[in-house]
Amino acid sequence: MKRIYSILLLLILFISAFFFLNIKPAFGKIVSLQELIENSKTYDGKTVTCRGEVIGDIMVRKDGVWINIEDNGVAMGVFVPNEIYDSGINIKYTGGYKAQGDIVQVEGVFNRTCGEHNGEMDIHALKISVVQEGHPYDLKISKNRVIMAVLMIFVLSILMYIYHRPSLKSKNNNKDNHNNHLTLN
Amino acid sequence: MVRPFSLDDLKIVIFYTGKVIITVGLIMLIPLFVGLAFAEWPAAVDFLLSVALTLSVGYIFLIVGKTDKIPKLFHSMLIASISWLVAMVLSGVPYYLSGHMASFLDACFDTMSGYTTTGLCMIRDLDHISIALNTWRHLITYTGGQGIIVLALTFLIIPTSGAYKMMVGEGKDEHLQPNVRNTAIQIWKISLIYLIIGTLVLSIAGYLSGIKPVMAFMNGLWIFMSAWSTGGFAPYSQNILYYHSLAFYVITLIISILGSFNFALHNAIWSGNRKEAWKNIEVRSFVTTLSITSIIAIAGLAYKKVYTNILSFFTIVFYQVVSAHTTTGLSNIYSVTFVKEWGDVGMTAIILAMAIGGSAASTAGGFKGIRMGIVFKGLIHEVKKVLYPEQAVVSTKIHHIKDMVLDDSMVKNAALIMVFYVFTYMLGAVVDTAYGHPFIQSLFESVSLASNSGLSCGITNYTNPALMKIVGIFQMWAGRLEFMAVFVLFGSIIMLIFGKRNIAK
Repeated sequence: MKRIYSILLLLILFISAFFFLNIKPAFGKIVSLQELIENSKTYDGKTVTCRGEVIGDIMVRKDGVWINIEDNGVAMGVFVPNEIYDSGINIKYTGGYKAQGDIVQVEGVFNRTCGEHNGEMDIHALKISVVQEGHPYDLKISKNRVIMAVLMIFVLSILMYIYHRPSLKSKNNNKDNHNNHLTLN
Repeated sequence: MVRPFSLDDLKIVIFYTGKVIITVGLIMLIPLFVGLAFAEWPAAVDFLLSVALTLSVGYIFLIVGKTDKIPKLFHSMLIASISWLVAMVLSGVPYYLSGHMASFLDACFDTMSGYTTTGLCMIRDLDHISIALNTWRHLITYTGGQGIIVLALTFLIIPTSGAYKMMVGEGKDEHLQPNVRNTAIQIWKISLIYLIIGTLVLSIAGYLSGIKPVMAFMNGLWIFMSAWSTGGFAPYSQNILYYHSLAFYVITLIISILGSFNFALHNAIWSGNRKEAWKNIEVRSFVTTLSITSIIAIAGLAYKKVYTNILSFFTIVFYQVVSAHTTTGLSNIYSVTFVKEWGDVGMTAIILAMAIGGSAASTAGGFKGIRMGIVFKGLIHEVKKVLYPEQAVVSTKIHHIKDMVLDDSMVKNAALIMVFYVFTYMLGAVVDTAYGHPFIQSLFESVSLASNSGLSCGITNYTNPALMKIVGIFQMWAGRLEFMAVFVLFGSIIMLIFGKRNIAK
């Protein structure tokens, strides 16, 4: 009976610790890229789950595809082997000036210094899925800026005229030269 | 006896600064066309507005300062220092209009970082900026590397002896050709030929890495401009790590080493004097100090077992040391890695490499190889003088394009500039430490700024206090212009304030 009480007590303490210390189970927990790079030794070689916006180019290589994901200002390369990339992931938008990229969730092995890829810090994907589709940005031209630009061009034209117009002095000189020329003739 | 600061002096400074501003405005047309070509309409409008504003300011300077007088050394130093400041402000306009900067001061920080080929940046959300703005960022660094005044001299400024002095004020004190314009043209010719070859090679590498042809070309162009100018900007927040390509590492390594060499050395080799590559004091100094700093970094990191893979020592450690020594600042590790993993020994090796820097009259920053060589040879010379019999005549030669006999004034000048660099390195370190950063990290960031390197251990950030940003801008500017032009500017301001130089007709 004493043993059962002890086990129950330990169980209660363990569960309480989860609530009070906010400890989350390691598996399935989404790790931020910032946390990965700051604690790279802790996570090295472990399977992690990350989320981020696909940015820039999707670079297709012989044995797989490189995508770069950005999470809160930190970006990292994810290497997706061909068999995983071909199994159905469909990245529609990649992040850039004109679009917000798709948000993907990656489960993969984190490498602090990847032996396969030039010693870089990367993630080798085991699973990847699009969790939120991106969209094109509504890039509007500001009317005020267009008006300002037109005004500035107008000002510039006047300034160019003032600077490049022949000065009164050189005009008079030209006139004198012309008169001299006529007299000589 | 201090000469009076006349209205004519002021006019000369304003007029030639105007010419430099016009040059900046004309370069700004390139990102405008890029914005139009890629249908980035809002960015194109921002550049149109910026071009018109910059050219207008340039013309106001030309009208106000209109003169046919030729600048002397004093004017040239002022023109160089003021032009760089005005260019920084005006070039920051499209940055600020993009909405990616937290303040206009941040925009100024980034443009100064670009022009001085430093490469540290405050821009937010870099991965979502326009192709036009990315082109502008890299164009700034490319122009700054060769020199804004060198560019103005090529097209807009009448070649005179005063014009040569403006180049000196900008840190380009080599006569590649007897004529100053031909020297400026020769600098641009060398840079443009490398630009074509480098962009082609990097574009092919980008295409083979899986980037689509047009963007492979743009990335090739940007990265070439950054590596050749020893700048360190890259179009994405991951810097060179974005490409995940060994080819990119190797090519950028070669380009940044070439970019860090003296234009006079390039010119000599191109003129058929290939032996110069082995005999030149700057090359010898570079090889020696690169070897020493690489050994320190590799030994330190191997001892700490930060890297266990042999390839990593080349692709990561050696790459970082070369990037630091050439003051390029391209990086394939995260800033925080320096602090969390490299530790004091690794960071010290990088600090040393950045502090020494590349060659004089190149795109690189730092003490410069020639000064290291002169001071080292000067030291040997002094030791020899003590060891040899008193009657012996001790003579030491250095070789830079031609043989030169080392004299005391050369050693003094080199040592003096190095002392100014050390002061500037310490200035930033003290300020950063005062804001609560550990000293080694502060020194790392400060040396990176003043040597125009651009590697970061994470201190440089848009959330930094304004004073840190202003000190950073000063360090980049003073380090790039190699102090003399900056001292002349401050000297003139002090003289004006205390009335010893009165503006008089």
